[in-house]
Amino acid sequence: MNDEIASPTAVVEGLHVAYGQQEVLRGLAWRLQPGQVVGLLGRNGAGKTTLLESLLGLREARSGTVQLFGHDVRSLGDAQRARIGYVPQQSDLFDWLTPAQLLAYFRSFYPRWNEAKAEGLLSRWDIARDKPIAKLSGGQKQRLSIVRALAHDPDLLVLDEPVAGLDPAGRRDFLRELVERVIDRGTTVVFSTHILSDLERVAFNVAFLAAGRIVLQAPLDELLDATRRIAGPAAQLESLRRRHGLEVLRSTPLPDGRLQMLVRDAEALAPQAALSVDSVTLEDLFMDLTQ
Amino acid sequence: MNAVFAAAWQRRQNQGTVWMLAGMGLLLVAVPLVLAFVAGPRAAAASGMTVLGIVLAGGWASLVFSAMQQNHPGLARLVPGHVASLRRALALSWFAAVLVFGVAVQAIGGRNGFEAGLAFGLGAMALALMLRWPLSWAFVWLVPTTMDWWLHLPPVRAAWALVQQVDAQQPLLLMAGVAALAALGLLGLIEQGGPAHERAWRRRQRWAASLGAPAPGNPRQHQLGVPGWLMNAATAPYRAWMRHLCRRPRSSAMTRAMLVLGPSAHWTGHLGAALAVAFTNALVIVTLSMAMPGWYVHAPTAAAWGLSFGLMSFALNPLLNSSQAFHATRQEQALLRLAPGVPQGAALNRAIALQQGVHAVIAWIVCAAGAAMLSQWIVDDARTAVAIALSCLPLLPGLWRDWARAAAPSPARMVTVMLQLGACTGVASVLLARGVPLLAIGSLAAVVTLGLAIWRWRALSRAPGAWPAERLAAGA
Repeated sequence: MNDEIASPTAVVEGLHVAYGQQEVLRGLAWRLQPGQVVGLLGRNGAGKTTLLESLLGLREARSGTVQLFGHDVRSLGDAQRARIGYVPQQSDLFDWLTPAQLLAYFRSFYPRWNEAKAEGLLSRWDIARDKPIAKLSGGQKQRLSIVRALAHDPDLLVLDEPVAGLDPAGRRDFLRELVERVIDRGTTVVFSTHILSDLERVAFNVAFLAAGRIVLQAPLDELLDATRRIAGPAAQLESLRRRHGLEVLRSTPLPDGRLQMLVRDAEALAPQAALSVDSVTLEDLFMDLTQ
Repeated sequence: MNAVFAAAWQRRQNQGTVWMLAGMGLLLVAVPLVLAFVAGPRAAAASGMTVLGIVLAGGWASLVFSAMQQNHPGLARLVPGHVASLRRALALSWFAAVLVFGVAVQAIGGRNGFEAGLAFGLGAMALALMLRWPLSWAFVWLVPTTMDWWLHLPPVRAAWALVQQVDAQQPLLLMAGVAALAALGLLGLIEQGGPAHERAWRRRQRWAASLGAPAPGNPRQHQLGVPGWLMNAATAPYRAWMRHLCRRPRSSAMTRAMLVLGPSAHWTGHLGAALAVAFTNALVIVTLSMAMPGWYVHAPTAAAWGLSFGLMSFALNPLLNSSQAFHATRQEQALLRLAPGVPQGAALNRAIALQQGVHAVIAWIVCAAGAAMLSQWIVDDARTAVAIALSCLPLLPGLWRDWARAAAPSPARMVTVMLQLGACTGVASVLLARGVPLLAIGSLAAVVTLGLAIWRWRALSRAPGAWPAERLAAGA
């Protein structure tokens, strides 16, 4: 058990997933460490949902391997499955039941079930226990889906755009819950989202998905502190890159023959003659890295 | 108006169901040809006319369905000439179908083409109105079941005599009367915007949503009035069974997991629906008996056939509902796949197949026995009912599908099952008519069913895990 805890929660290697002729994931490699909180970013259609589903073994890969808790995802045992929580993108699930019936149903499958937590969240998020799920609002359905995923205290929590259907108050409550109850417990959390401000609040790591690969994964603070957008004559930029050992994340030619680069490990850079050096925001990174 | 026809065609094209038209054409030629060899030219002509009627009425109903979809309250109010185009297209196609049918009857039978055309026209319009007001499907059962009674009512007899008299003396007047009725029907089918149209549109949307939902008894059905209440009552056994299983942690995880498909594909839902239908029928019979003592003395043969047919279609419910249930609960299946205790891969396939198989076989046995007993009781002959029931058997292994690769359900799937049922029933009827004993028909059905079941079972062992369904479908 100790070995399992020390080893990575998830290891993805050479993952290829395609829909017919369209290849969505192209040799993707990814690694999630225990307790890591990763925000997955990517444009619409980049394959975020496909990646999360493949990570959980819900989607067959053309090639490559996925391991969860040291086991091949295709043959997870009950013990490993009991450690996974999943909130899919679609929240109107089991809408022929009431929240109480839904939770009783799932409780019957899990060896560990935190009844107090589930009840507490239902009350705090004002979800009627005996109202049919179909009659709940979109936000309430989403919250219920989150309650269901948290109630068995998972060690790996995968959330596919969990706050998309929530209003700002709901998002704040959810993120607070995530930070206080889940992240502090040492749970590994992966979630995809388009709302960058939310991600900045809780994600200690961000992973950018583009062209079927994780093009960059890094701690968010470090990324924002040490990434710069520099622009200037190509030769001067190249010399600067070599001198400081900068990692170029993206290079874009400008119309006047100059070059613009997004570079890492550049916290020490200062503006120079004919050379601009700018800090970047998460939105800038998103726009540049997910193109 | 051309745009209306084009939209109907494009809908079929986009759904990939154009092949059905070819299938209908093939049916139109093949059935009379086969019957001409097997049962002679008279039977071939009669069956040919029946198939033509079904094809024409089906085509007209399909066009009406498309036109009703186009008849959005907003478009009706804002797009110039939209309502008029829809009505013109339906009127023209209705008239063409009536003409084709009448001329065909006249050409084959030599007489009565005019009357047959008019009767067909009224039938087609009734079918269209049933699409517009779904509750009127109850008439499909009520009208033949009570035919022997209402045909003898004095006003009906007087009206029928009048129709015959007008037909003999003023056939054009009769035609004008039917045309007027059809025009009234068209006015009801295609509405022209406004609050009433808006309400009707929303009601139909709710119907469609509740029929497409995995569960009859879906809470949306509280908006559907009495039918919704009945559907809710029908799911009571499902909910009770779920409570029972969830209270017993030692119950089989797979038994609990099967609840994920919702009541429509679960045996408890099936049982609940059967009880709800039985309750409704009992209510109708008691009410009729109190209002018209002795009505059942005239209980016609049609009642026996109607009830037997209903029972056998009930027996095939697991087959008809499973595609929709697997499709509608794909996300729920994903959650179940991650739940501890639920089998994976081929073991999951076998567990699902076993539960579905037991459900389908029990439903078949109960319904077949019911249909046979009813036929024996009412018309003193259970042979045809038993032959039809036996002919349904080979359809049951169709439940065992590779759900991971299955495509999303479409009307074509439903039609395919119904065509298979029609073909099996046809074969059974022909064998029975040619004096083949029931034992031989039963043996043949059992051998074919067993062969299909073995083949499907082996395929399931090689297929990827069924849940979530459709994830490996072409184009998914």
